Amino acid sequence: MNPTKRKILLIGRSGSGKTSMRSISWEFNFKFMDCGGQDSYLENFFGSQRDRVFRNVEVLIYVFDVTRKDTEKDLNYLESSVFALSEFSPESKIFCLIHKVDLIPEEERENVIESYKEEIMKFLSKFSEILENPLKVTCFGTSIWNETLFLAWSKIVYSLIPKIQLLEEHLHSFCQICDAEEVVLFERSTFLVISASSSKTYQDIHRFEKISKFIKHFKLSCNKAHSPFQSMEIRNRFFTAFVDSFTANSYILVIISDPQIENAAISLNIQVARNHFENLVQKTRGNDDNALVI
Amino acid sequence: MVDLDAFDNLYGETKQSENPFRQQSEFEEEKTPKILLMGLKKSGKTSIKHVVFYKMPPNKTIELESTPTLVQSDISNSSFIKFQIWEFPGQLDFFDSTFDSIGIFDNCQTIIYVIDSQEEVPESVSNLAKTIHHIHKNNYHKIGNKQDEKTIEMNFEVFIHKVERLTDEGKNDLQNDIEQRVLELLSENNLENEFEIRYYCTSIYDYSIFQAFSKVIQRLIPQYATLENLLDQLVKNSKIEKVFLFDVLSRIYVATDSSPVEDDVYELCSEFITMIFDFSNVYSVGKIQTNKPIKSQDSWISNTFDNDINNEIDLEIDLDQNIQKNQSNSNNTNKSNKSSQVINERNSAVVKLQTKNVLYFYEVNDYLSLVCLIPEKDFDFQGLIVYNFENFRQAISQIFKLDHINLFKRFGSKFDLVNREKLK
Ligand SMILES: Nc1nc2c(ncn2[C@@H]2O[C@H](COP(=O)(O)OP(=O)(O)OP(=O)(O)O)[C@@H](O)[C@H]2O)c(=O)[nH]1
Ligand SMILES: Nc1nc2c(ncn2[C@@H]2O[C@H](COP(=O)(O)OP(=O)(O)O)[C@@H](O)[C@H]2O)c(=O)[nH]1
Ligand SMILES: [Mg+2]
Repeated sequence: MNPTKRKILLIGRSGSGKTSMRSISWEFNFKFMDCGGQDSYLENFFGSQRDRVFRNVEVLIYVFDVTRKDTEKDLNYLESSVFALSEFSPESKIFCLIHKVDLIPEEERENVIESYKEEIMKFLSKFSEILENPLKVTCFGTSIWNETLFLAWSKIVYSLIPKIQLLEEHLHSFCQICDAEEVVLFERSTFLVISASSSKTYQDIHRFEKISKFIKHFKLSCNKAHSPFQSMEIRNRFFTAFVDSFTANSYILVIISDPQIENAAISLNIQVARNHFENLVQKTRGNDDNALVI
Repeated sequence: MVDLDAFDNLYGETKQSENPFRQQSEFEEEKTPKILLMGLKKSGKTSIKHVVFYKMPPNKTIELESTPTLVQSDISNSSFIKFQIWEFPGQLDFFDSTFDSIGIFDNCQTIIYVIDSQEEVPESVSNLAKTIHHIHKNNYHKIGNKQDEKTIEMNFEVFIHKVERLTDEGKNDLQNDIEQRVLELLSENNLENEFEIRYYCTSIYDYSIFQAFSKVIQRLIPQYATLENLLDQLVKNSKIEKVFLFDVLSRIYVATDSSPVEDDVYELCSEFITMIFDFSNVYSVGKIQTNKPIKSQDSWISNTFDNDINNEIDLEIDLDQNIQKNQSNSNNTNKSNKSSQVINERNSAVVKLQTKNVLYFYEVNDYLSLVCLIPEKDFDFQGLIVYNFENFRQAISQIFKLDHINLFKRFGSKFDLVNREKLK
């Protein structure tokens, strides 16, 4: 696997929120380019450095500041990006983040995001005939102040994983075999959710974000004490939880609520599944070199 | 936004607006020991109280207002250890002769004097010396029955506060300067040998405030020597590197073994508890039985000492059987199985670290938990460790016989540990 091949581009105008988003959005373990937002700087990207920047891009994330009314300029930059990508990285995916939605009053938020989306999609649809490859664009309303950013980034990571449906099927059967209440896969360095399978419905739809935050925070504390985290087991009268490193780029969380199930049995199951998933990943890696490999 | 009124309601804080120096009778009757927080205004007293006991995020303390009157807080809802904290308002001049200070020092076992290291240090130090002189003159530092002469001495603790920006060396120098200066001032009244004052460098922006408060509390526990001794035995028999007995709500450690405390290790153990509780809350939602008393943030812990005392669990557990039971979940109903059942119900957690060490969490009761650091190779025999921890748990439940530590109670106990050598 060639490490130079994976790159995420984060573009947006100055003040749109890229830097604060990155510090919250966890360090990606692949190349992450935060293109400066100042106009002069941006011009450079579409000029002299165009091919260096847009080659080998896996994902482009364009950040719109929802409070800015002059979207014209943003759309122009997006257009330049789209054409540069079609030339240098035709397989890449595009995500538009309509950012700082917390600043829109809650009752209007849905509508504002929707009309923003429409504007972007309508603008981009003009190019679909000119471009060779179909455009893959997804829009999200986000804010650093709530769970929306986590959800958006999780979807982005999700989209980067090849054969994700296959993976999910396997995860689902693993959940059943273990009699688990829930099984969750996290990307290793960002701790974003890659995939999950549950045998019951939960009231708390934001639980992945919370768990991710708690474990990430604890991992940082471990690093600070010069004793990096490896795995974890929590047992109480409601459940037993296992968190363990799984494939080369993922962690697994298994929640068991049946107290009759032995810890050792679950550990063993995880071990077996680890080999199985590692094989699965090996196979998909062969034909899809560019992808994020879990 | 932090709603301070909500805090107050939740934790039963009593604000006295009329006469700040009248004793509250409910406190008087119970004779819960009292910690008096003193120091110039803006030194950080209210902040310390809220960060340590009411979980206020440190940067929220900027919004706290100056405290105009004596504020009494009963800490028993947010800690295992029952005591009150009285905040003496920095605004009040306590040497003003019109001012009746009788009652303030009654039953006061500890004075924490807070010095703001960034502001007016000389004034604060001389005020400290004046306070000590005043206390000595009035004999307030002898607590207990003065007729019988069965008195104990008040503890003097000085927090050199807001030191988060100082280097270790800077803290040391500052502390030396302050200690020196206090001695000089006390010697003016020949008091330099009368009091043993302890100094701590603290900040609410790191763990130093929790560590300092831990040590302050430990001095208030009459059973501390026994607790430490029990923990030392536990360390020896289970090959533990370091163990803390945590008050889980406040993250104060009530006791630890006698080896030195490393800041990193304490911090990590404390974060470990936080993570366990946060995590557990997420996956316990909707599973909590409503007939059980539920504490707002820590609803997942259910077992209390009360159960044990009522059930009269036999402390002499047959080791061989017990360990077997731990591994196979058989359903016999003989006595030793009942004991192992208890073992299995205790909340516990294990974190493996890449340093080949293990963090182990073991619930003692609603309020207390053991957290320890063990080399992974010595953790492989987990049954032994669980057995020893369970015995420790029962031993200390004998010591305290209550769900809260009663600071004045004496005790006797028996404690039985095994190590690998004995097993063979
Ligand atoms: N830098 C720093 N600031 C602190 C620390 N602890 C408290 N403060 C700040 O000090 C200020 C005063 O804190 P308070 O807790 O209100 O002080 P106080 O001693 O209760 O003051 P009075 O009630 O007037 O006697 C607040 O703005 C706190 O945020 C600390 O450890 N470091
Ligand atoms: N209200 C709100 N403000 C945000 C959000 N994200 C970023 N900001 C603020 O926007 C400003 C610019 O952010 P910054 O990350 O420096 O933008 P950059 O120039 O794109 O890197 C900062 O003041 C951030 O605090 C958001 O989701 N909501
Ligand atoms: Mg105050």
